[in-house]
Amino acid sequence: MGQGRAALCRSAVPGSYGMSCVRELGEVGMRITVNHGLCDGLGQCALVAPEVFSLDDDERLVVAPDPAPELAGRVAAAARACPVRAIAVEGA
Amino acid sequence: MREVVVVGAGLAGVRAGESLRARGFDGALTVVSDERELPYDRPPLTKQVVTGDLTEADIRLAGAEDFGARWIRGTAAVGLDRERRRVRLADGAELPYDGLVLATGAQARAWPGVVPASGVLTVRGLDDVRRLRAAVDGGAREVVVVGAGFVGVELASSLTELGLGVRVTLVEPFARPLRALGGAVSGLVAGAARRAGVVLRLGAGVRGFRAVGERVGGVELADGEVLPAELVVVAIGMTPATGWLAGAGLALPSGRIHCDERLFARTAGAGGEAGVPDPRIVVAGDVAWCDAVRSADGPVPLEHWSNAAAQGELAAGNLLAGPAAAEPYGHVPSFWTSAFGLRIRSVGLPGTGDRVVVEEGDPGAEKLVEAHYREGRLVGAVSVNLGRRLAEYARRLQGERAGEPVPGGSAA
Repeated sequence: MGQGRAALCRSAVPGSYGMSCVRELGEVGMRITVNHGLCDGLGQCALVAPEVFSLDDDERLVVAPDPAPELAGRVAAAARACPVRAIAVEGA
Repeated sequence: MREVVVVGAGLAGVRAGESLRARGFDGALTVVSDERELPYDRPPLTKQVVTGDLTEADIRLAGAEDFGARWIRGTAAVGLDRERRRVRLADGAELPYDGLVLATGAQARAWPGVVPASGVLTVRGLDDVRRLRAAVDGGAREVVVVGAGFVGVELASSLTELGLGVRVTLVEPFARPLRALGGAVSGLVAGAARRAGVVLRLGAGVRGFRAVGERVGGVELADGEVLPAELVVVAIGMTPATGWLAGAGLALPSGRIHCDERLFARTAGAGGEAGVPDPRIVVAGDVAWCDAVRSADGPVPLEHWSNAAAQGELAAGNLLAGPAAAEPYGHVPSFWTSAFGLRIRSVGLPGTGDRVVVEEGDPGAEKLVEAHYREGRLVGAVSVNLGRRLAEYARRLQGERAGEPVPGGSAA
């Protein structure tokens, strides 16, 4: 099991402006960037890649640390499923 | 495949174009649209665009200009000749194709009767929202919204949020707003709308409109009462944009294009049945009536953002792959709306159930998840301000469809 390098990424109030959350993942892993200024907690990403994206009780987006490399396709699909294009993925 | 034509430049058409290029299609790609606008996203139209929180520039579909297509805007497709493989345009031009993506979407359903020359609108596109804002900015304060579906409820919410003193009356012939979403959700929406100052007239049919000169002056209900109105928004659903396909030999149940599980358009067979698919034509978005999206009663049309995006993408891939290698459409339907401070999400087909159960949360706290079952099988779930659980329901729905037992998937 990979050890998360960064603390859990959480957005502020849904829809509010805030800093982007960048997660570094392993040596060769994906890099997922969520623009929390755009994210509205719609949760479409969580339907596509629930192993990586989820909502908390207040519908704020939570991104899990260190997704397994085999999830790359799903993570990319989750980014495409975001209606406000708040998710960017590199290395997927 | 050397020439692909995409008809329709909404989300489904744009995603299809992007997907064709992403999968290596390097032939000629033409996108045809009857709108003059650059492609834009529709969900914010009735919400943030009405309130002014998003501008027209904010809702442009990113990437639509980047996939190397020839764009034909402001020109409708008016005919399809499948034998010669040509799309005919309103200006008389003909576009030959090897592959065709049908993504023409829908139009707002017009009031089926006489309406005054001005002051009665429908809302489907950016132009409609411009007219709505112009009417309000021009002083209209008595607004009647006819129809408490998603468009009607979202508009009622946005108009009250404007802070301009707009008085909104929402008229609905059925007893509940957003009735497809289940009892508790409808009740929460009704309560929140009333608290926001909206006058709800539920169970009230509309007979017609009163005019003052050319302008609308009132809405006449079925019982004869007349509601004063300076502006009326008719939000009674949509009509698929398939008039141009009459005579093309495609199966068009309820005006939508019937497509198979892999999104290939089905031809009109003998005796009104849908026939074999046309291997050169795929369908995506609101216009589709897809064999892969079904309840126990048969295919269910979807008019959702996520469906348009997912179908656009898969339709393009399947068109390039051909029917033998095409993948079935496996997307679990999902939908969101927000109105009067309620954030509503759904997965599956909640409107097709026969039993609704509140499985988490508390309607009194405006936070809940309702699951919809049909003959004991999960068919959908809806959340209000509690979207956290929906991914789990989506996974259960995927399992139900695949016919596999899902851990923890038994009905609670």
